[in-house]
Amino acid sequence: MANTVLHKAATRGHANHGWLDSYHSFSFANYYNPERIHFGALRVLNDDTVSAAKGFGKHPHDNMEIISIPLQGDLQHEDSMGNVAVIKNGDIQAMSAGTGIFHSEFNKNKNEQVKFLQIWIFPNKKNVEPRYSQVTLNVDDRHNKLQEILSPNEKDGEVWIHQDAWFSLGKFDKDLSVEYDVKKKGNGVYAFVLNGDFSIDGQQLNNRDGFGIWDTDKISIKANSQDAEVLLMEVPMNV
Amino acid sequence: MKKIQILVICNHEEILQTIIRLINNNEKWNATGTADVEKAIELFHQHKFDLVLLGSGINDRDENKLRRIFTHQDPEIKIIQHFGGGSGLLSNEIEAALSDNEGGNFNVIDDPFKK
Repeated sequence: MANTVLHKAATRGHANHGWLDSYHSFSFANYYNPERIHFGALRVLNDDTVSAAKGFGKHPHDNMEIISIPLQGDLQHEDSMGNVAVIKNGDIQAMSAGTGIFHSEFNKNKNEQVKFLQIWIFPNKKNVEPRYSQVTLNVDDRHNKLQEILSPNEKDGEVWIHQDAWFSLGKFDKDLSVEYDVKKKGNGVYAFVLNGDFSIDGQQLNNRDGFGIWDTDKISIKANSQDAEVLLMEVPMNV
Repeated sequence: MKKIQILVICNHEEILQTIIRLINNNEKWNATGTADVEKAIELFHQHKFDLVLLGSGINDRDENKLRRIFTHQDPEIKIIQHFGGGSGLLSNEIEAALSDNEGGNFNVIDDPFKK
């Protein structure tokens, strides 16, 4: 029988620094909850809003896979590998910090906020060569179906990371149902509702709720509102 | 007030300096850092530490050696992996290790890379 954990949106950690308004699904910075450290290899899920022309100055990472998904607006990225890029709404970026990198992330727009998800996954290999990749996703590929956007393998149309993890996005008409097959035995799935309402394996979920399921092979997903959107993150549970 | 003494070992010099600075910004903590494994062992022999942070660039052989030597000398020593000083996880990692909490279904003191 499947095991589950529910993280309602309002129970997330919250920090408002003025230029940054951030909700933490797992312990981060000054938010520490021993019951919310990680979900398998998923260590950080931050729901960030950054004010116009503001951002994160140069800071380091190592031995972490870092994924950024803008939901509104654009994010300018610069790193110590020499990459300079704008990650637009509709893109996904993956960075393997490996032996160590420094990077900055700024809201390029002078008039508009940027909203994005920052997701950190423990890698399955330490001290890899740092790397960066970015892909523009086709939004039509997730209408009423699940679009794979990240995996352990290099494929067209998605990013890859050093971990047996798969991410999918879906945007559904009301009452549409799909099933998600877990791709690797021993993995769990953390569903994060980006918009609207869902039932996932019978659990009612609303905007920005998180729901983790493990010890199962298959997950049933039903949209309870029009244009409901969900991000599924399948990750190893045994870390 | 006695400060918590933290030994940081990290092969990336710039990240090491960032972590030391961030730790020392907390008035309750004091960081000593090195990129050199032998120097780390020497420091551990000379001083009493409450916590060891292992960072990037430490290969498995050196990590196993450090863990073996440190736990032999101080079986109570807490040794944790960290993920870059500006990461937002640093305070969490330290607080969790010092509070001896087993957070969620994962003990933060464990090595997430250990199979």
